[in-house]
Amino acid sequence: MSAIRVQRLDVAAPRTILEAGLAEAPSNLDSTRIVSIGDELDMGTDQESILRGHGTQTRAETGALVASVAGVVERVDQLVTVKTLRTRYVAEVGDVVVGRVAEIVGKRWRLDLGSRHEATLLLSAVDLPGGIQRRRTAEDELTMRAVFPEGTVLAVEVQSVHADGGLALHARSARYGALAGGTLVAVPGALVRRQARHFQRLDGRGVDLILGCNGGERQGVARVAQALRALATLYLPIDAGSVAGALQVADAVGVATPDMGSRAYLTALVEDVAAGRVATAADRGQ
Amino acid sequence: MEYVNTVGLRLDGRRPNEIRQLRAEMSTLASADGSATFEMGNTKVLAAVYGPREASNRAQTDTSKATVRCEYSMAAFSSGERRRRGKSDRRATETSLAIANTLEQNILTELLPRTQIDIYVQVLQADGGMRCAAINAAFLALADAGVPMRDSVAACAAGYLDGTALLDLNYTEDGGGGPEVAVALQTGLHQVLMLQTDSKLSMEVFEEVVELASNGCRAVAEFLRTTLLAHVGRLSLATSIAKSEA
Repeated sequence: MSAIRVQRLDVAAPRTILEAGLAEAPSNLDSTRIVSIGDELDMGTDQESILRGHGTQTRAETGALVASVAGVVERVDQLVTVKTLRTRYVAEVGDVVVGRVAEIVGKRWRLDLGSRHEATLLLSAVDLPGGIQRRRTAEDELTMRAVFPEGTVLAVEVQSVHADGGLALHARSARYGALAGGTLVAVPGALVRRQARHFQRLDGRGVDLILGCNGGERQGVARVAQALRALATLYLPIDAGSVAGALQVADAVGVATPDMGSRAYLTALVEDVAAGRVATAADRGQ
Repeated sequence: MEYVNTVGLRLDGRRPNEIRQLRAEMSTLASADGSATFEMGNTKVLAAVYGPREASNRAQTDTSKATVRCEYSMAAFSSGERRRRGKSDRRATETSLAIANTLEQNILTELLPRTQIDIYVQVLQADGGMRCAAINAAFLALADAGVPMRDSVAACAAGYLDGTALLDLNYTEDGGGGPEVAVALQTGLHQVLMLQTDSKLSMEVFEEVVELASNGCRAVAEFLRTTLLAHVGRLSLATSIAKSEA
């Protein structure tokens, strides 16, 4: 048996690696749009007609528009918002999400999605085993634990967002349901880009991103999970492309799976991302 | 003991109106929604924020606003003499309440109904001014978690020793027997969120000390703002969100 590997994490490492690696890449960073809490937002001449969106507030005394979160100012026509970069998962209808069953209450499963409000999956929003279509009875309620017991990892879709922020989920498709034989890697939901397809060979979405890698071999699963963790540590966007890129870098550098949190690998990964951004910028330029 | 020498310098070489060196690090805990470490000289505090999330006790859910809770504790290794304090540390409970109260006034709780925000503060190194350092750390952690707030908050303490008002007392000066006043300000709105002292002091001294502490708060606020801007800048560099609209 091999000894347990203890990896000392340099907390500041991701920060320094990022700054060193990406600072040289084509700077799409507009520092004038970055604001802190309490900063006044200068909207120039049309201060009057501005619509204040999320992350903004008006001062009662002066009528000035002020940021209520630290983030990036975005403006669409008259609507001004300040977007935070780190926040709990904010659901949109149609999102594919992955979460664990926290408890079973009445005729609903309560899922832990890392969102601000609770997420529930109604018994009637689930396909019964065998795919029979019928009204759910009290008997079905009693067998809910047999379908998805507590702790089961589920892939479901957001059906609706209640007025109070609560989420209603559904799993009325063969694509959705319990996931098994994989590793659940939790990453910040803000990093996961919404795409047309979330069930890819490297799939996942939501706050928790699952690497089902359905049927993938054990080693493969671990490597993908490590790639995801590396991306999340560096706070780089996550989609099928970036995960594939991170895996490519890992293979090119020849890093062993347990060492994918190392400084050497993270540096190589950032360099690759920076190179990718240079290339994209060059394409646009032509 | 002489707390201010003939040249006008304090025990650690500061002038009466100088704060200690400030340091801060954002997102230091991976598991929390927001976290930060904050240092004032040798005082070092770690804050973690969980939430806004579904209230753990459904009976306590407030349907009109968010509930803010705070748990402040001192690590056993934080002070010179190692001590084991139980859960029922009355001083820690009082500080917890003060922190929760101060920050709750600043959070836009009405935007987050039915939720709960948990703030955990742990003192890693204690060298005086822990209450203020805790508020500063918790503010950074809340900002990191993306919690909407009214204004920037900063806290700083000041005391009075040897006939001089001293800013940001360290442990030795704290034990000097003079009064200490802790102040937390909303620096943009010029509102006092917290003002605490355990001792009696005359009107003139009180005003002088509070004025000095307020100036300290403004200096801390400037530092916190720089920290936040750098943090947001770094994250948006990584996610490449803040593209310039050229």
